[in-house]
Amino acid sequence: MEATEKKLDLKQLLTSNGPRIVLMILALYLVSGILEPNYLAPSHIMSVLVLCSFLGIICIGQTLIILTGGADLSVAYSVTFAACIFAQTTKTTGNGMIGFAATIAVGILMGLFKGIGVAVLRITPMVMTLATNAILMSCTFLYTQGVLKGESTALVTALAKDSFLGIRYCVLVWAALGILTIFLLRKTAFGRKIFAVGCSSRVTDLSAINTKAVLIGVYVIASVMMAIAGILLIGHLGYPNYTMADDYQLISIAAVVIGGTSILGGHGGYLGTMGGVVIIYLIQSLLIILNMAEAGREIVNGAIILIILLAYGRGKKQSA
Amino acid sequence: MKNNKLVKLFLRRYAEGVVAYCVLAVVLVLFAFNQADFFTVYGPQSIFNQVITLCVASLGQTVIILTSGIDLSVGSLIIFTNCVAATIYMPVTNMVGGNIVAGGIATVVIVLIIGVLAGLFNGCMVVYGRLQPIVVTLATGSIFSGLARYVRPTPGGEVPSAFARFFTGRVGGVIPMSAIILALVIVCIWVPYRRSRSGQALYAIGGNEKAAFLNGIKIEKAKLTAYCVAGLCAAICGVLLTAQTRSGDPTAANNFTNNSIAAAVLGGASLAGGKGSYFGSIAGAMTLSLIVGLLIFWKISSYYQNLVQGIILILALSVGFFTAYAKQKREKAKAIAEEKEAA
Repeated sequence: MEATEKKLDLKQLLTSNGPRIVLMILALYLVSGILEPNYLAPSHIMSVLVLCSFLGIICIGQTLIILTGGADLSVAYSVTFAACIFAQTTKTTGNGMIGFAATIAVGILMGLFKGIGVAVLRITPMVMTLATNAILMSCTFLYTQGVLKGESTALVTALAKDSFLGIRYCVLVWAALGILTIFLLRKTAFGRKIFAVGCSSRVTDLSAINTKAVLIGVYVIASVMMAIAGILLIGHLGYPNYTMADDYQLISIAAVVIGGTSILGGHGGYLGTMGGVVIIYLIQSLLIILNMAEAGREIVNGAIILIILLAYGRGKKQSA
Repeated sequence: MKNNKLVKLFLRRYAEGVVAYCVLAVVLVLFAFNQADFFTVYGPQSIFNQVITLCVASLGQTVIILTSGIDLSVGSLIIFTNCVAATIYMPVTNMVGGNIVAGGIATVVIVLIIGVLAGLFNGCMVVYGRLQPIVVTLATGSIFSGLARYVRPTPGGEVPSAFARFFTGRVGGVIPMSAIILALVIVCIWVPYRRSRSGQALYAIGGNEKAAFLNGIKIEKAKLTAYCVAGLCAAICGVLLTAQTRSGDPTAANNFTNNSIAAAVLGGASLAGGKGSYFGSIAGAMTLSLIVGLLIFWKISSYYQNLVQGIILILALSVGFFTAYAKQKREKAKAIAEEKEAA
């Protein structure tokens, strides 16, 4: 009797989300370590984590939005626009704090715009964010008039490049924001409401939950996170760039889904997403070790995402 | 009498597309005022050449949206087929004996087959892999764009000018070839497909997949066909793009994915599935591509292009909200008036 119970536990452990992600990360890490021993060094782990921190902060927003049953297709220019605002405002005012405040304010405005479109005008999230991305793209070019001005400030560069006890500050920022997000989702009423809205917004409406407020809140938080990621990215790159966030659009959704959050909404969490983010960058660094050309990298990247999803992201078989 | 019924049926079926046609009408009138040769044979030719690629791409997207899916790999697939066409054209021509007409036909057939196979791959992942369409096409989009870079590491390729002239020219000196191709795509692909069992099933699946399944509709077959049709449309778009640019460019920034979704939605398709038609999507696609032309006429900076497209999309989708709001307000006022009367 006891034995069967133990067996069941083991099976459950292997097929549940957390251990699976940990196992996958370990496997990827070991494989890249065997192929390139330098990759086992703490300094390399830290450089992977630095890359993870930018995507990770973007994915806070993406996770929250996917949990409500949407998907944000405006990542690329939400991040880029915020970054441009930060760089240019800082340059014109000469004060990094004003730049930071302006960027966060723009983040809140972007979130309100998307949130009102989704919650009040009832436009499908994917379409609303698609349209917002187009609008933000124009805003970026109009604001900069085609010439990118400004650069990273000393403080922001330090955030991305300096370390505290061997851990880079941006990774610490990611960890702090990550813990806050997990706390928000698990322990606060607002967090539980996000899950409820994702399961059925009709039921939350009938349960006297202010669905519109929850949705708008989610989009505001998400956009502010993307604005913060934009600022940190400037610290990493040194100056803004129109295509700096293009790659993040697709991998942010991929990381969330690999992390075990259902694209249909209502199930998942941010801890899994953090694992998904690490998996994405371990795959990419593995492909770099294999010395693959960009063409091959893109193909293998897509194929690996498909294989991971086939391994555990499958839906139920249709049955009567 | 019978005619009247048909008109009513037509209007009911395509009601969602009406908003798109209203916007399109405005855009066309503005075009007529601004384009000097609008009323000559060159007017329609240039207009159809501008809109044809997005029209075909959005038709493919509409089919997927009808099944309540979304295809994020359209853009990459179009670029991939474009690169294949530009690369294999001359080798294929040499293989069939140096005849560029035969070579062109062979190239187009090969590219269309590649498109259908790519669509089938997407379909198999969705149907047999039981994955969500958005994540499948996200991953396959990356695969297709990698393949495009593999086939054509640098922009280029050789396409005879006759091929370009054929697809962008006029037939009989009057009718633009692009218009004929669009008509052919609708008459030869959309209409027969829409009337087939699988095509009818699309609407049922998008409306309520569970109910469709319980009613014995072959969901797997219908979805597989849908993805094949979408792949075919993307490949046709790739061929047309090859004719227009006469080269293949794997690094080309392309908005086909975003714009095809926007066009379908503008044309009344619902991402929840079960709603949408070629009729609306084509109006949506035409509007979105012609606006770019209008901005050029007005010498407005190209920076505004995306802004205008985005705002039109949001406004078009808000129409439903505002009409519902107005109706609610009217009813409330009526109820209050009735209450007062009763008192």
